[in-house]
Amino acid sequence: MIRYVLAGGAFLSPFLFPYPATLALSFAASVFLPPVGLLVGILTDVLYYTPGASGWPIASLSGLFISIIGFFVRRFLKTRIIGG
Amino acid sequence: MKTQYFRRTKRGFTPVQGIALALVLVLLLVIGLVRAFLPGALTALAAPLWGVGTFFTAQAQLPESPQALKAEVERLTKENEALVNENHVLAAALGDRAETSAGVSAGVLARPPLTPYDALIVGKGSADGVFAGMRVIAAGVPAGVVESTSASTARVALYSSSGRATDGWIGDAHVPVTLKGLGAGAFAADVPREAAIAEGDAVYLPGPGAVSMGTVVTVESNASSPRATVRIRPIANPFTMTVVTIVAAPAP
Repeated sequence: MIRYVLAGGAFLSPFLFPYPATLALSFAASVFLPPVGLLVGILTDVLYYTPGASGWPIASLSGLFISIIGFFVRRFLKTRIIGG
Repeated sequence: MKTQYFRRTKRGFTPVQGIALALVLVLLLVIGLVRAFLPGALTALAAPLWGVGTFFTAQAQLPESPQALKAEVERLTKENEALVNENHVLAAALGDRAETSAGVSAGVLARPPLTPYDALIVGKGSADGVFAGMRVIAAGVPAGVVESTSASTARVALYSSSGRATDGWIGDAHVPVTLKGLGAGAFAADVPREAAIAEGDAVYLPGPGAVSMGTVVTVESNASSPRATVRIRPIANPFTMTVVTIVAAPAP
């Protein structure tokens, strides 16, 4: 249940909260569902990306990074819980 | 005989997760297509949520007590009277050169830190006479340029966007500089060490009226280098912009 609450919060965050909160929520959700970070990053860029303000879609790239980190954290935790 | 059981590790997605992921991807693709071909539709849908975000931000920014609010009102009233007088003096001195265009007043729907870029989304668009390239004025000083518009909203790239270069000049000596945006409203400029620039000097952008857009806060120099780095703080804080004026004057 908590994974879906976190994912929902992460998807609403670009509309409601400052971007550091969006980053934190995306990371928390990505530990449970790794693709969430990337998807939230794409959503943020769809909403706010302004080519004149930045040459790179930083939100999508950050989301990809968060998803990768979330994936490895999740795998590490699963290994520790199951194997330990 | 001992039988060993291995717990099978679950790999990949369950069918439900796969379907949910596919749905979200399709949704984002649709949103991307909507942004490309119907730019106003997405912002119209997001506007109520931005309103909720603005409401919570406003609640968080309330002063601690009514006394503090009263003192703030008195201070601002006096400051306003002084500025009105100063404005009359300056307008008289400038004469015909003073900018007379009122422009389009637009409310800010989303600003940093809600937006991860130094950009604003404002609630006026092409239907209100706002078009790409128009200059955006906040708190009476130039703040950015309209980047793109839909019928009812516009995206504004601030001059302080990270890496953005804007020509201007500093101080009464009119030292020409290229202002480099550092994000979060801050600027830096590379100047000759011998240039007569001091902390507190005003920074100007070219345009009608040549209004100051910030002040020099530090001048960093090294004895072994012929150059110095100037740090500039803008007058208009992007984190507190609630209303901006969009004028047709050409952006620098």
